[in-house]
Amino acid sequence: MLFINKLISLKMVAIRFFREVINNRYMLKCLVIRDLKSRYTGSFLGIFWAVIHPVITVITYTFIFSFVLKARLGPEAGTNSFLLWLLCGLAPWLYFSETVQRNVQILIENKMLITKSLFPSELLPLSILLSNMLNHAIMFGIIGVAAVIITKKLTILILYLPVYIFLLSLFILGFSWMVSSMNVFLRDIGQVLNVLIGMWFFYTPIVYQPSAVPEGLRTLLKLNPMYYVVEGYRLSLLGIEQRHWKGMLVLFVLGVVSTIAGGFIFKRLKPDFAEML
Amino acid sequence: METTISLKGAGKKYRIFTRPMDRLKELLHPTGKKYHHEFWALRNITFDVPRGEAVGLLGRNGSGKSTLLQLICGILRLTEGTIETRGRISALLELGAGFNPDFTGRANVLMNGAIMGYTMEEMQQMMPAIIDYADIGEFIDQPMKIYSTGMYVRLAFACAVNVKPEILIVDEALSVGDIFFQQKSFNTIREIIQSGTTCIFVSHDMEALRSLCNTAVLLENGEITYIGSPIEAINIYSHSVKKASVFIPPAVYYEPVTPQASSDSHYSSCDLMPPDEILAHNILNETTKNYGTGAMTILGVRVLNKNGYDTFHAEMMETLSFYALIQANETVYDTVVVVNLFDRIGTFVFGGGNREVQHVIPDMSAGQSLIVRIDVTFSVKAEEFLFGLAVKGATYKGAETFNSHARIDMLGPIVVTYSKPVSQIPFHGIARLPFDVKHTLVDNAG
Repeated sequence: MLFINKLISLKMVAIRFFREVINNRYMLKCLVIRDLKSRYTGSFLGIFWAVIHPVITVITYTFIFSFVLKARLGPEAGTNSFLLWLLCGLAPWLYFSETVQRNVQILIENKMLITKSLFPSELLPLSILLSNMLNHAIMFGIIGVAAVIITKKLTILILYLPVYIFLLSLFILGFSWMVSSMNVFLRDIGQVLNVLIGMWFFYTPIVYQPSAVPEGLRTLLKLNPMYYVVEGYRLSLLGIEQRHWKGMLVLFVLGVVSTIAGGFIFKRLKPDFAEML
Repeated sequence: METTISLKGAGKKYRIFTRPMDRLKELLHPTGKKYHHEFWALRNITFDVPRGEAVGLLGRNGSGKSTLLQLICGILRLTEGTIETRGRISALLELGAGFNPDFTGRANVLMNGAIMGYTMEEMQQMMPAIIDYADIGEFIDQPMKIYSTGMYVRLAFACAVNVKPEILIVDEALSVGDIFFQQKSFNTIREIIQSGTTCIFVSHDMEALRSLCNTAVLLENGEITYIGSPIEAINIYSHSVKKASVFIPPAVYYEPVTPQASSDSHYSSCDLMPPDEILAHNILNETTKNYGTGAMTILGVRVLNKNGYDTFHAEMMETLSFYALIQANETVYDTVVVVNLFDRIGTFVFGGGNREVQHVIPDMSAGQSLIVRIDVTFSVKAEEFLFGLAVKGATYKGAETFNSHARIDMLGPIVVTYSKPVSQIPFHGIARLPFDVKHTLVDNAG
């Protein structure tokens, strides 16, 4: 009974949140545009930096891993192009890490809005998420085209990509809510997160294949949510037909749990934001 | 009457950590050891605001006014008690607060409306009125970071009052902007109150509070010390402020020394006050600036209260005696001695001497000294005053008449205090004019 009550109240909270998003859609739009603008105004290449940055990163990694370390992709990689394969894994990672790292400070940055008006602060992390999503959508487009040209095949699996993007976004949103609200109380969270993300990158099979990890440690790899994300992106972009459902299910559960948990933490801490800022 | 805002035992506690590390320690401490000390910014705040009423909040800095506003708006969380509000709240908590400087004025107004719960269409309908009221021209479509302070506050105010709030909360916003805008905003607030909106203000502008509010709430150290008529609240407040900030100079009593006792005295005996006594407790010193033509010299000044204490302090309505020792260096006719009083911004509050009371001082010959006592009753507001002493007279050079004078300014300050209950205050305003009250009770015929 208690569980059902909880579920109903959860539904109410979710409905209220969606209503709030709809009521404040203009503000959300403004916040997203501001974020996009602030990132690129005054720079000559503007929005192209959204592409230039990951491309340069990928070229550097490709040079190091492919040419210096002579890493070769196994048959399960789906492509021979190390660059393309890396790009598929790196794009979601950048989406995740950039959004979270930016969001951890977002409440502190908008201190004036929170302390001096009744501002729906939960929209701030959402706005950064949306702005980054737009940013990376450009990337996904480019990668998609590159994948089709290089692998010379276009499978139905590419339709899974939006699903993965959505599930990853859910995960990021919950994670952002959690770290941003906690960072208000404990500014060390931001620093811890930077260290964590720096390490997390290497514990996620982005620059290496999961198969390269020793058998015994592979289960450990599966504890990492980003493992499923990177795998899922690769599977759909490179058109590898295997293990889709399992990974997606795990990711779905992770996304929902993260959103609920993050939302819960944020909601609990929100009344004291004004005081702590 | 319907209540729009209702506070019951509202209180806000802050937890003060001496070091940021302590916060972490407390958070992680296994047995829940406390590392903070508590600070009650507000405690036990109980009052109701009926619909259409204007309430002024008074209190010194740090008395909890802004915290209270933030609590009513729901920005801060209450620690204890309850606050109930009915209707849309529009708040001007700080200059430009809630506005995002990166966005245009228009976008900010729309966003503000969204936060208040208006739909886009409703806001678009209100937009022309807001733009018209703010009167900032094309700047409405410019990012607010390039706005001047005046434009910022114009738009903020225009937005706050034109969205038809049920509750308007204004914190110190009336004191910004030029005089034209201040008047305009003043009138608007008055209209809003008349139209049935409940208002809460914080202002240090006593005149504004007096003319706008029906009720005033006086806060001191986070607690309500008075609630009721604004005039009474302002009186209590201004007295409490003065009590806290004014240094009351000490009064000293000196045993009078008879002129015979000081053997080297070259003055003859004097029934008003022996010159030596004035010189012994002279408030003038070498650094005092003495202006004048040289025909007369002010040698000494002494100030005594009615009990014979040397002091610069007077309770309101108390009399101080100013003694002046003046020496004539030539023959002086028609001597006039005056005491002048100035307030802290230099207003000439009062000047009076022997001529004003038709008291004639006989002519003086060179070398003669004059002692004058002027008693001044301080029927003035409790404040600090500076005083000056001047002596004027006519001198002759051959057949020609000269106006000679000597003058000393910037003496004091004399501190006037009022320490009795406010209900017994003898007058309001700057000075007490002679006044009287008479009355007759008339019974209704039949």
